[in-house]
Amino acid sequence: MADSVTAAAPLPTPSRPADPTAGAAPGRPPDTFVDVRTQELQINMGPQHPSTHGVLRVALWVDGEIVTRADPDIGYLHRCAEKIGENVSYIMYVPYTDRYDYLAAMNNNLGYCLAVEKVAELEVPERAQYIRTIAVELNRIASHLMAVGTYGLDVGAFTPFFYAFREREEILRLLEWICGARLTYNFIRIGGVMRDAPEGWVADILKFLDDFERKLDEFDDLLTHNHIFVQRTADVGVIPIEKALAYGLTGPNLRGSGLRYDLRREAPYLLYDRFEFDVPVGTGMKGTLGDCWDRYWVRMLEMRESARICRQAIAQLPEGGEIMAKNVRHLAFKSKPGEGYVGIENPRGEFGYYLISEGGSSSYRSRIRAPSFCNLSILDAILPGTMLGDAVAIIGSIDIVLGEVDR
Amino acid sequence: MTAAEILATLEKDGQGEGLALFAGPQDPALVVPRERLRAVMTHLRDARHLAFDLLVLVTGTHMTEKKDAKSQAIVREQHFEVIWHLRSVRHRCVLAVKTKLPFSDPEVDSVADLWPAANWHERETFDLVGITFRGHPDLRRILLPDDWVGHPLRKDYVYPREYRGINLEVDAPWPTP
Repeated sequence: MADSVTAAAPLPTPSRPADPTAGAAPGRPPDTFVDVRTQELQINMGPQHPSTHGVLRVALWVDGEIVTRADPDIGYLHRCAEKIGENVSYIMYVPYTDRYDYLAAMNNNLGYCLAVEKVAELEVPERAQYIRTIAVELNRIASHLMAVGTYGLDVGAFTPFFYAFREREEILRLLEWICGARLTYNFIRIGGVMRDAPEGWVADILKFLDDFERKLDEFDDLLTHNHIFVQRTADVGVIPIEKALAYGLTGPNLRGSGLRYDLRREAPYLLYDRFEFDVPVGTGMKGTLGDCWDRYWVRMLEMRESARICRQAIAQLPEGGEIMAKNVRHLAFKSKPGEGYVGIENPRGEFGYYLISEGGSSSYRSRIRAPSFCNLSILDAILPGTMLGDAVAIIGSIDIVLGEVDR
Repeated sequence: MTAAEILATLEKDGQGEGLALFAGPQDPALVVPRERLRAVMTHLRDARHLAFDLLVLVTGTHMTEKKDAKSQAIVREQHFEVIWHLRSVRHRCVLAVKTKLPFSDPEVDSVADLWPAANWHERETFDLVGITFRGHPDLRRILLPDDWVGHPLRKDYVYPREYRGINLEVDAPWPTP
């Protein structure tokens, strides 16, 4: 690298015409030039850019203000989590799953544990399943709050971010209470959960939920129907339903395009078939169906649904009972040979875990389907043709977490 | 629809040639010979009664040679496996399609033109497992640097000792200032 710098030719000094009238159009002032050639310019967005939500680099080719081509460059956070999965034992791998999507670590724990439980054929007790549901839905609300809060930041609204973080803080307190960690929980374990709900936890959640739904209305006033925000996001970054499916979009991004597809409804895991909840979809209320505002609005509605599921799970939570499957010897846990795929609904889409086991204490092959990775791949298809300023609004509306994109 | 039902449907549609069922203890999969992959995948996507419109995941696996513990006879040759997980939104089901590739020639047709979602998955599989996808529009490394040597998810991967002058040995001494 150093050689090429020293070997490079000196920069050409900008030359000015000695005569200021040279090149001026006849009959015009001398500083007006007719020769305004434009050329395609390549600019670099990231890897250190506040609106890329991590270390994502997007090479953009622009013609004036219009993006003509985009090439996302990922891999800055690559740790080869799949290789680690082959090298460490099943139980040791749970903390690593926290680190893919660090904003929704509970969901990652759950996806991994469900896959191992499927291959090892474990039966999880009912109380553990309810506690899992409550934890996962709380985590979904926290993750969506982060998504909408930082999305406001991306398009220039600073205040809603603090309102979102105030509520998120409350959820982090509740999750810290049950497992001792604020982001990387390591709470859902193979066969059950780490510990039972402490006394007063459930009552505190109900208190929080009562407050939370009022706060969401406040948030709607601040950001959702804010005229500037709507102008910035409606009709921008439109993804038609067919394109969303073809590019493998899932979660709020797919539902924002108008397809009612939620794995909690289509392929229920845990106890989701016992709860009543709606699957919100985008309707094109402020602009075109599948624009940035629709994706944002789906997340806002989903938080209310998560709160609803939480309430029902708390109401149905059985008193007492086991929280861990029988005969799971954690330190010497061995799985049966087999292979299985489990897909769950993460806040960002379908989180999938494909596990091949040949028996023994570690997996033969761990394959992670990271929703952000698939959602991000649509970027080079939707950015061309948009304004450069909208690129930030579009990337923000897809809501990626780079820890999960790069794994 | 289960994998067995889908196999029966494919046979009824005249696409069943060479197909088999991988009957694992948990998820059964459809085993397709690699010459027939494009035809079967196109049919799975386009036929209205199948309609697998969402490609979920592409996985490449290096399966090592396995010997019987007693007789030392080889029960499994060394090979690669590529597994595609497809979802049908209309019929609410997921299907695993499997193809075996010989170890000496890990090459298979790309499906990136059928599902654009496969583009990045195939690039990742190429990057980490070293399987080549024929007809891919832009097959280059995606997660690792372009000049990285080897494919880490192969079982015979040797961790490099150095990359661009950076010492990667685990017990290397800290550089003294």
